[in-house]
Amino acid sequence: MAGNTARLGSRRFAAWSVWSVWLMWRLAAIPFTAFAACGLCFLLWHWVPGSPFATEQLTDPVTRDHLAAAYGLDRPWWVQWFQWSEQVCSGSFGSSFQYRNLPVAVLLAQAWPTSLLLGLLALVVGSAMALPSAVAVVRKPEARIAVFLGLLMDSLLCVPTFVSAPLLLLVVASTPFNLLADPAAGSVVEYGLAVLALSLPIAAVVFRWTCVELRAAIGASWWPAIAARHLPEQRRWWRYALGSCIPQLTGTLAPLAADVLTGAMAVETVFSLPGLGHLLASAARHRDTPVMLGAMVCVVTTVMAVQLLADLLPAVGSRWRGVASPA
Amino acid sequence: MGLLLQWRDLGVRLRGEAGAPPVVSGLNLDLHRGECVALTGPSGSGKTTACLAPFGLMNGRMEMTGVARFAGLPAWNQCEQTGIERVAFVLQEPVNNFAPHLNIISQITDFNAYITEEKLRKWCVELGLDDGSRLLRQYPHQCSGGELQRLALVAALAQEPALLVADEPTAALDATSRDAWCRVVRRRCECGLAVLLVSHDPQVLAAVANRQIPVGLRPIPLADLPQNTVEMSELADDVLLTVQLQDSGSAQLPGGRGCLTLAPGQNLTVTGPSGVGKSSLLRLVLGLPSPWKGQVEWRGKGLCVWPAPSRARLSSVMGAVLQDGRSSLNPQRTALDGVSAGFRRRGNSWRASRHRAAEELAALGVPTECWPRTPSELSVGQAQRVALAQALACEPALLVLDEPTSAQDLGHRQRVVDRLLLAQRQHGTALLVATHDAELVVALGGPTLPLLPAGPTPTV
Amino acid sequence: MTRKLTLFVLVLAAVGPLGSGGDGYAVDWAALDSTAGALHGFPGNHWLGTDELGRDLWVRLCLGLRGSIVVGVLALLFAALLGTTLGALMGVLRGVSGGLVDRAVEILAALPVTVLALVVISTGGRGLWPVAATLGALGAVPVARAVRVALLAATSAPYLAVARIHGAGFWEIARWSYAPAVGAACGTACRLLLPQLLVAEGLLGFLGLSLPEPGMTLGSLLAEGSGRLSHAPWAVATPAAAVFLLLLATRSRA
Repeated sequence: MAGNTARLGSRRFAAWSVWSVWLMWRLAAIPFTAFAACGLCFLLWHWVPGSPFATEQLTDPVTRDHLAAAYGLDRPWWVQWFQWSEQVCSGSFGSSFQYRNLPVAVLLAQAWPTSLLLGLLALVVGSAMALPSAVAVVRKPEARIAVFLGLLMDSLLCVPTFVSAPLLLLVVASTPFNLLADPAAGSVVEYGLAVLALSLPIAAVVFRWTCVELRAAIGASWWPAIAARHLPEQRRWWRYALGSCIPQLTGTLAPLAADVLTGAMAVETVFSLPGLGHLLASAARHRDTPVMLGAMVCVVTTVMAVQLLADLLPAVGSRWRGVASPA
Repeated sequence: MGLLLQWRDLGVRLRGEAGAPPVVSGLNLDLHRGECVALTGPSGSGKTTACLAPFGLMNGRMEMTGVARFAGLPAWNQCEQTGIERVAFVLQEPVNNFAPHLNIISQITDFNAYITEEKLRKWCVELGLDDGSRLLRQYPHQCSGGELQRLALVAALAQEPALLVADEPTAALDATSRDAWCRVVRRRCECGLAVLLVSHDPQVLAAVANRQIPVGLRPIPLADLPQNTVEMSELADDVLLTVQLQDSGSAQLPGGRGCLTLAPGQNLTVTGPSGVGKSSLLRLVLGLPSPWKGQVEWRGKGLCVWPAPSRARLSSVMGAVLQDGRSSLNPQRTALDGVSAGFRRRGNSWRASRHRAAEELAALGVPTECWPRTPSELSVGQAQRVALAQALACEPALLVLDEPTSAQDLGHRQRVVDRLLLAQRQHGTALLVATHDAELVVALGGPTLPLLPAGPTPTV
Repeated sequence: MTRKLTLFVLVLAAVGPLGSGGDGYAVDWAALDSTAGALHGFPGNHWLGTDELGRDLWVRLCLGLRGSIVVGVLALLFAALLGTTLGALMGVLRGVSGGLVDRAVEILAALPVTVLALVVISTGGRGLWPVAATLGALGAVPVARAVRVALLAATSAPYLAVARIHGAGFWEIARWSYAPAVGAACGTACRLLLPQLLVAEGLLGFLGLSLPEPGMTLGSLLAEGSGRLSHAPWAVATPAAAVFLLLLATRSRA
């Protein structure tokens, strides 16, 4: 008996060490990928003619060259990349070209949490809409409510955020109680509308994938045993069918979550929320290099962190190890 | 004594395969409370299907014919109705009795909230599991097969059923656990539990079953198969194929031999129980990845595994038909196309090869309307015959066939045998056939090579 | 139903601008900002009214639809070509070179599509070919993955081994196994990709980064319309409906 425990203990230790090595490998990959992506940007910037000062009304090429030299834009792309990396490692992301001398770090510190909060709320609301619908549709595919829900979710896929955001504003603005005009409740309602607009396409995608995974769970070899037991139907479907899909679902939906958390550009533009997406869009329009690169780093970090969390789920507790395995 | 389960002319067939033989047919049963009935028969005879299909637990392609009633009502929607009588199942694979992502005790208390852990632990001890509290808290993938099988019985009994359906419930248990299992079930039967058992273990059948119902064909014991084995000592002057076995997995050749040879025009039938390694031997000869290891020589020259150039040089001297007829056929090509491609490779013109392909398919009894169909639109038997025609189209010197008549009924089986013997006589084709069909062995004649599993022989 | 919808959308894009008598580009001083209602002016001029520069909204809608479709389809063609090549390379190459191609595609796939498109277009400038090429290059990743999976499955199928044993040569196998597998995978991936590309293109148009003036897409029309939300709701509702119809016509059933 004692030998058994010791063997169990050493097996657990071996498993832990494998997982920690894998975790460290993944964490180390994050800054590497971020820098690689920014290097790609520098390369493109160098190849393509055009500069951040093209929008300025400067016709004098001499002045333009002086400005370019002052910002270090006339040197080869690898020198620029190296200088930028040095700067980042010493802690500063530089200053924006657009808003002169405003540090990029200040802009990012405001934009990143805004996007994260908006994205998180939208994910929660979208999943809350999608999961019950998926269970209803897979349980009784011929029922009228199931057909209706299926059609509704399918059509929500055709309403992207840059369509739903202005439409929702239009709908609420044309109702008799125009809540948006009210100063106190107006901003809350607007934020709620922003979350709703972002959550509609999320609901549609989550619905589709959940249907696929649920159908796979029902086709699994252990489902007949569960179908034969005398359980309340709700419990059978939520705890057993949906519960067994969670690792695969989180794995498949991680890219969607990453996309949403890194700034929904259309929603932030329409509702004037100072998020990461809005920042990226305006930086692209004005060719504001430091802001663009700083925002890219935030985006890449968020994406890889979300992917890491999704891959960690099988390691949490032994309950998922029977269903999934580490990547 | 109430009548619980009633079958009248019960049969199961695959949906859409009207012409193919059904999986199981013509079963009658009357099961009363406190009675234990066992279904016996060879593997693949449909015992599991017959038990599970009436309750709607097989996959959607299975269709039930006949009548099955449980406690007076149709058995089909037993799980949905909130009747007082319950059915509990212990499925064949121990892992399939539980959902993989929840631990065992939470699954048991889900359907019976009133059961106490004391009672579950007591049952575990009765079945020989001493560490009940630890086992019940584990997840299914953390338990061994034997533990899971006993826990499945505990879970089934916790449902307080009127009928217990158990499919090979002692396969993973050792002798003492098996006796404990039989004792527990015997005691429950005396208290009124009805048991429908599927088992091939004679000790379990003797201890628990009141009656036995045989299902499927009468099994032909190995001893009755023709025993004219290959005489390895005679060296033919013209040897086509030589196989030197180095690692034959869990099987052994009769007499402990390690090598076999084949001459032109000769045929060799490989027989043995399922899972012994007949397909592995054939895959070794064909150069496909196989658990068996050995040296294969063709007319004295060594052959390696694909994609070695030694194999590519030997194009179309071997014809192969794999075990599942459809998997030997390209799913994009129609039947006629696939067979005529073989003739075209031999250098015939397009028109001539199509003509010969049509003749070949007609000789094997594939109807004309099936020729422009793709393999997924053919039945399993037709696909098997098309695969055979494809192999014959290359006019090979050696035909390697894996269960060529497993999906054929009597008439078509005779055609296949006739065609094979014709090829042997006319072209001197050698045949290497793996089969468990005793009648095919008899029809082909020729020497047999019975493979035996290493260790004690199993009962059929 | 989907086919009829696709046909309707295509007809609208092709001949729609010919109706409604107005001009989508020129400023019409006589009819500035005429907020015509639902059917006012039908079958005469200005079916949907005009914007603040007097340009006919119906004509602009149909021109925008045309622009979106053209960019989307071009991007899809790029994605299909590039994706099939990449996928075939990934499926065939083994060892170090195969590993490198794999890693590069993985890094590309780890980053969000719209962000990368934004970066590349803001450097590459706006125009039909840069926009289509960028979206196509980013859409090539799912196509490459699908093609690679299909190739790996095709090479390990049992019927391939049997065909080789029966003497089939490389070209026969390529024609009957690899080509159909790659074609089917590419087709499925493209069918799922087209709506995503249309959405990405619409988003770029909404942010003002798609086709430059005088070209227009549905996204840029929506951006213009949301500025005049309070007094001209048609200017938002009609491009929105057009986007919905376009995506509905290109969705494939789950």
